[in-house]
Amino acid sequence: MFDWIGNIIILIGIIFIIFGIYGIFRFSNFYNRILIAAKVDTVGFITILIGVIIKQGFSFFSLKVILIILLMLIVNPLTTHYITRSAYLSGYRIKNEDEEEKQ
Amino acid sequence: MRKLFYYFSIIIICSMIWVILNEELSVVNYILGGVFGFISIVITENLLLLNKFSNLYQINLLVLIKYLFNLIINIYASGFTTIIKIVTGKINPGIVEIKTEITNDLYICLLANAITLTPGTVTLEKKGQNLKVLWLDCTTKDSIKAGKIIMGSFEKIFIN
Repeated sequence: MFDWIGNIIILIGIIFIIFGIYGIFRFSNFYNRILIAAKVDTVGFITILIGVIIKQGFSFFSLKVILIILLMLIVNPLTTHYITRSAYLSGYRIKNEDEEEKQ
Repeated sequence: MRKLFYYFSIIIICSMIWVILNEELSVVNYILGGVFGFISIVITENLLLLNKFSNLYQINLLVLIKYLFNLIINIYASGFTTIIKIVTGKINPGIVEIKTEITNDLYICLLANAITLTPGTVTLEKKGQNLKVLWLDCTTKDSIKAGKIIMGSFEKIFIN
């Protein structure tokens, strides 16, 4: 029973990540790409790990996975922030999608 | 007395992590984790940090639990709206400056962390109480209205 619920939740996480990859190829501007790439993957990653916890049940293994989730919640925004900030400081500015296609 | 309780709670958390990583539930293992936690606290406080632990990280446990609970709900709510925006393709990115009313520096960092974690917004810069935010669906450039939409319920948790 718990096995099947876990499988379904892992599948939902994979669908989130598929939409994220589709979004990266759909938009051409740098800022749109970084907003979508880092974010939808966050949701997908957390969903997959919650699915793993439910599938495994309560044990030392699932407690370790909870530690990984807490670590990810601290570290993931830092990497996104640094990449975006360095792009902003080195002079990238926001353009509209339509203007880029005309050029 | 309050300081002693603070360090005691940090040592308990350290030894719990030690027990989880070693996968062995026994008294000896728990005490060993406490000893290693004490040693790591002494080393970080004397060699790495510029101030004491109890001055830098003053955080209420109840606030932290509320924050994590709110974070998960917000991540999923804005994850779904971001997917709808990807499929329809109607996006309008822009940079907004917002101002918080929180004075504690650690809480402002936690707020910026939450803004970056929720899909659709990324914090670019923090100067005192001002935050510069990159926003996927930039409907207003007004700092007060944008702050209400972006920060939402996070600001209320920290002020209370």
